[in-house]
Amino acid sequence: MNNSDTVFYFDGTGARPRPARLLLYNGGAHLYETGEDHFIAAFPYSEVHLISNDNSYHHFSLLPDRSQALDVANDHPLLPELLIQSGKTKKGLVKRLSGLKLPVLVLLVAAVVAGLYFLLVAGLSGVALQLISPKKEAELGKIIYDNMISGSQVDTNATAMLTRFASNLKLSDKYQLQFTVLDEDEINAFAIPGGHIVVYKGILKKMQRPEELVALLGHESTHVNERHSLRNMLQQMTGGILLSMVFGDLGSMGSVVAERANALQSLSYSRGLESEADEKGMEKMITNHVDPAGMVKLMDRLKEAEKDYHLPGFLSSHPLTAERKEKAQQFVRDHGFRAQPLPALDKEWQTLKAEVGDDVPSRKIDGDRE
Amino acid sequence: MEHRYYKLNFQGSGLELFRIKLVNLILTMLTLGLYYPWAKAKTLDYLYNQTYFEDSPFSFTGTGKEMFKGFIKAMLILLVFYAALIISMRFGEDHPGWFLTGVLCFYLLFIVMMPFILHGSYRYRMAKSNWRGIRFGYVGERKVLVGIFLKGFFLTLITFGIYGAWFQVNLRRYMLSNVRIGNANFVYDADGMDFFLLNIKGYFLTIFTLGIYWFWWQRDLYRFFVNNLRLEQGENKALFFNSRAEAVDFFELIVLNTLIVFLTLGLGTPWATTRTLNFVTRNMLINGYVAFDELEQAQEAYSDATGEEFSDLLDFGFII
Repeated sequence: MNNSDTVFYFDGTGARPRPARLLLYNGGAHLYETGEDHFIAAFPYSEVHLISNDNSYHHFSLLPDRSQALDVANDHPLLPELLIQSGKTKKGLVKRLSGLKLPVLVLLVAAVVAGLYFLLVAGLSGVALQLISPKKEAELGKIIYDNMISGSQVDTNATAMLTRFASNLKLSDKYQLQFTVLDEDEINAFAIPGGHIVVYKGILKKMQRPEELVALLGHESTHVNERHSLRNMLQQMTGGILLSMVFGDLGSMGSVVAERANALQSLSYSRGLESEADEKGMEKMITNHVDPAGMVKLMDRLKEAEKDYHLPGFLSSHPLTAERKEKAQQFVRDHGFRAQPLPALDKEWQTLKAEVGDDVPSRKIDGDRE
Repeated sequence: MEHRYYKLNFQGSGLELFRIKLVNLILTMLTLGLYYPWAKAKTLDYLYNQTYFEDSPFSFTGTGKEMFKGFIKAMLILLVFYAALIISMRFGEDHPGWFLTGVLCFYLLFIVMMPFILHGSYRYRMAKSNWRGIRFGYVGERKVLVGIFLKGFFLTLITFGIYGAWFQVNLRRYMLSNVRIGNANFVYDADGMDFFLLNIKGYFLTIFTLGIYWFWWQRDLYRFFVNNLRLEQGENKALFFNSRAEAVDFFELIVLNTLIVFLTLGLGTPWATTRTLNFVTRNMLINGYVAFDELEQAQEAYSDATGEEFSDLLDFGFII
């Protein structure tokens, strides 16, 4: 008998290898003492499980609890058959997945991640959105508002005037809008879930026409009406949970990747929301009989401000101002609008403007400043 | 009795582990996390099977089903804890004294739970590890471990951490000295003072050398762990473990692993894992004499994975 015909059996009582002869028949592996025909043990193929292989042996475990083992030399004549038979049993999903080629597996992972991401972000955040009532939203908004305002100076006069200005407009059916003017020179404004709209004095100073202010309020009130901030928050949260689950499993660096990927994704999401706010805001202007060309002018103001401050356009949550202006111009062309006098609005505008002051003429007076 | 060297090596490949992780990932996501215990079993299975001692692989015989049951039990216990905490907080809104007692009890309970978790985790993991069909086993007594743990924790607290070195060594000594394979037993024989001095030296020299000494510190820590370990069989047979890893080896391992993980944005973690296991086994010199052919099955089977999964939930490392 050739040496490679001998297999080594570990019977689970001790670690001493027991030389044996291997025979395969009747749906299982049968072991006999070497040299004699003395039977030792038999195992159905389903209880023979390949553990690993090295340069000289294939190592199998035996029995369901794997408490016995068998070493078969790599050049044993029955090894190929034993591998086929023991590998045949249980062709479950796990086995099938494990058998896939690496690129296919990678693609599959990507597909599952993308699918689940979509389901969670679109589905779960949609459900959550339905579950949060406008009343709860207003409560939440109050907390955010108090937090954001705490470090800033509120201009109470301008706030009262802006509120009177807005009372001439129909901006929201569902929400009780509340306006605040902050005494800061920033060229900015934002909306908080539940109805708070905060406008910086800086942007009011830049404005020259009441239509521009209506355009701004139309934009911000759309954020409130369409619950944009809440949507943004929910989709960031759900997306973050899934991605950290996926990448967290691959290692600590993975969670950083997940965070970045999610941030980028929500950036494009919020840009979409901004475009929606621009468009619905202009529709609001038309229903209020205000010339939507005010939006175009508002964009011009923002562009001027960008010149002064060199705001980074790429990776900012708003789409590029030039792009927004083009869209606004397109909107004005598409909707033939005949301007009509709005004396009440003009009057409130004059009062507000007198209060906040003007920022633009400086350019005309000392234009050679630079 | 012949004195000789014994072979320990790891031959797993990063690529293969990566494939396993990918399959695990797909199934874990599709089942919204429920596949996790099975995924863990698959990973451990592979890592054990690729580790060879004297040309025979180890095997991990724990199953996803056992660990799933353990996971559910651990979850339930944790939920009860948190429920109790929340109730005491609610109740404590009007009684600040109650509130404080509730929170304090919660933390205390967690500390008391730790040795129970360690004990359960060791029992399960050892009973499910085998070599040539011979089971490992952990035969430590829970009562004793709880005593060592609570005493160590208390003394560490009142000495502002100084006793921590002794605490850690005592814990390791008790736990590792109660690990068996068949009828052979491990002995961990280390001194808390040595460990304390090693860490003091490591800490200050690392600061003085602007971090460079850190790799020597790692070498010493590994050495302290390995060189104090031995395996005894009967009266006069023993196997000694020695580390031959030098600081430069640790430098290579840690710096390269960090780069691999960093540059691949975490995707390369399986390669870092296999490199580490390769490093650990390659640098462990084992010599002495134990007749492994005379090793007998002696440890009982044990399948309760509650402690094991609890330690996963709380993110304990396995090795203390």
